[in-house]
Amino acid sequence: MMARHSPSLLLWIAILATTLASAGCGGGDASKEIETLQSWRATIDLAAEARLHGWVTPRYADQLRDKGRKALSQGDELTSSDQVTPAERDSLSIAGAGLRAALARLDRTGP
Amino acid sequence: MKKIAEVALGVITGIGGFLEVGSLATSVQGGAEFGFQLGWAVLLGSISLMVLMEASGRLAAVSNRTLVDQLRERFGIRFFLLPLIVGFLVSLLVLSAEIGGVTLALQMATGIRFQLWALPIAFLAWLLLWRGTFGLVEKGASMLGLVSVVFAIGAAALHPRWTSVGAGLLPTPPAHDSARYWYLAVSILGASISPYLIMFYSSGAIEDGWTHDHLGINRVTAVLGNLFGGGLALMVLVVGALVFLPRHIHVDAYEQLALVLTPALSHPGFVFFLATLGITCFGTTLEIALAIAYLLAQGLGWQWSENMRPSQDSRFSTTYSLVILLAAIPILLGVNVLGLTNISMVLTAASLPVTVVPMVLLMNDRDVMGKSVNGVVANVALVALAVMSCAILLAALPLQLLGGG
Amino acid sequence: MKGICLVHDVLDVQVVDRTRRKMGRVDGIVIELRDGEPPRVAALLVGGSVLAERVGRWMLALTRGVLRLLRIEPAITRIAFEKVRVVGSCVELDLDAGSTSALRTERWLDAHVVCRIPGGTGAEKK
Repeated sequence: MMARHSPSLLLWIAILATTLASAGCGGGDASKEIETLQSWRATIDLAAEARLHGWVTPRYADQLRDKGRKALSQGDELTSSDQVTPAERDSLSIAGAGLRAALARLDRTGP
Repeated sequence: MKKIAEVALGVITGIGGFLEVGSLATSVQGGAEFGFQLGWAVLLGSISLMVLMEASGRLAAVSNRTLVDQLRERFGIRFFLLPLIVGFLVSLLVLSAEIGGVTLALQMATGIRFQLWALPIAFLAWLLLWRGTFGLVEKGASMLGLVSVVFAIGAAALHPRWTSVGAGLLPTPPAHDSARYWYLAVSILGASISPYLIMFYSSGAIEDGWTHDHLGINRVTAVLGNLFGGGLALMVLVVGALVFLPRHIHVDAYEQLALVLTPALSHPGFVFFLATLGITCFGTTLEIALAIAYLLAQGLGWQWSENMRPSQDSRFSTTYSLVILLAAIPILLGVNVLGLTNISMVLTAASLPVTVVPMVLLMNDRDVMGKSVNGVVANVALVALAVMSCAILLAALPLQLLGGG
Repeated sequence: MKGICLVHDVLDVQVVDRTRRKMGRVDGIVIELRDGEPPRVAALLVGGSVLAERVGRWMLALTRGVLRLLRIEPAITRIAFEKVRVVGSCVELDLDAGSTSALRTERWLDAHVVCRIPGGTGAEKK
């Protein structure tokens, strides 16, 4: 006969709740932000190439542009905050400049 | 001849229905960050799904009851409450993510914000379930999902070193960021081995009137469907590895994914990616909504069948209607779809023990399975899966915190 | 005569009426204790409150609270054991589900929600 036992439902719900809550945590890490800016620079570069060749539509390129700008503003916010060291600030600035340049190249591919 | 057609249809359904918002995101992310190294997770996921689907199909065909029926009957309400609540919550999260996937595909195609698509897509999904049959939901959506074969074409066009892809099918320790590597591995597993799929498959066996005569079809469908489907997911990883990794692109937003096929297939790559995302997520939306309704209806003993008119099984039809609406709300509110996808995949993986562990007992119960109890091979596979699922449960929270980035 | 194990073979099993319409699961079993005689199975119970009680007092309190909030009277369907025809893969009853309160919620939803939506009624889709 199968054993009928009390399940640890509360434990599972605790894991679920904590996992959901932890999803919004993190950030403010300079090296991670630099990686994100570099990744978005590369994304926007690919988008510019795709736009130039007509692989993607202008409206899609616009959406990526918006995302790229949002990533840039988040990077700028961290760069100008007290949470980073001078060395990190320099690296963030360089990464931000790279993304800014990529966005300008995307703008030049036209509407 | 009829059996061959049935098998072929089953396999096609498996292929066309394999990819969805989770497997697309996790496979591209896996490829973008670790190249072919996470290929083993895709392979393990599809083999695990093969084992579980074959078992649940066999269970349904032999006992004329679904997996959920057996969970309630054999383990009682106090245990059943766990898969009921956990299954409901996790499936609802995944359902939200799938609706998000459809709305994002439409946003990328039309420029209209994805939040505005939430209710129209929820309505369309509801309408298809309200008016359609099980066959339409299962086979119709999956047939259209064959568009996802574009990833195999894209991967081939990028000329990967197939020996390197093959090498990735064996687990190797990561050279960097172990927490992130294992987090993605768990996410990929969660994307493949979804309890809602197993419940849907076993319910489908009853909807289609499977008996002992269908055991062969069940085996072939489960194995081949998931083998080819898993192969497609592997191609998604390969494309991510060849397009995003060299460019050091980490996926932070779902919108980035639409670029992934463009270097290989130019404009058609973009179009077919959007079609794949939209269609496969929509098909999965229908499946999960039904799976949740099956879970409640079967667990609580209500009348149920997608082939009945809604008035013949009001509680069942009301459930899937409410669930679709509920799941659309986070998307309507603009929740980050990629974030929701990643979390729901990890939680899906973490929720596996509540389904897999009881299955080990059920598949060896002669009262349930008669002569079709598990053989040695099936037992080894199922027990290994159960152990793996428990390990994932223990690791899920630490990985989310350390590697969820 | 072959005996049945009440917990293994009856409790939590699907209940169907004489037309094989599903009407819930055996959520509880009533056993009558009689002086000087062996206990006998008096009835089967179908209902959410019975189920909640088996889970625990907290679940029963929660269920009662929710029902009170929605102003719904808890319905427990009591089926005399004499009405049980077969105990097998499901418990088959020698009655019509419509004559019990087991489908109360189903009927309410049908009348107030489903039937008001086009396509809700009619013959089987297939």
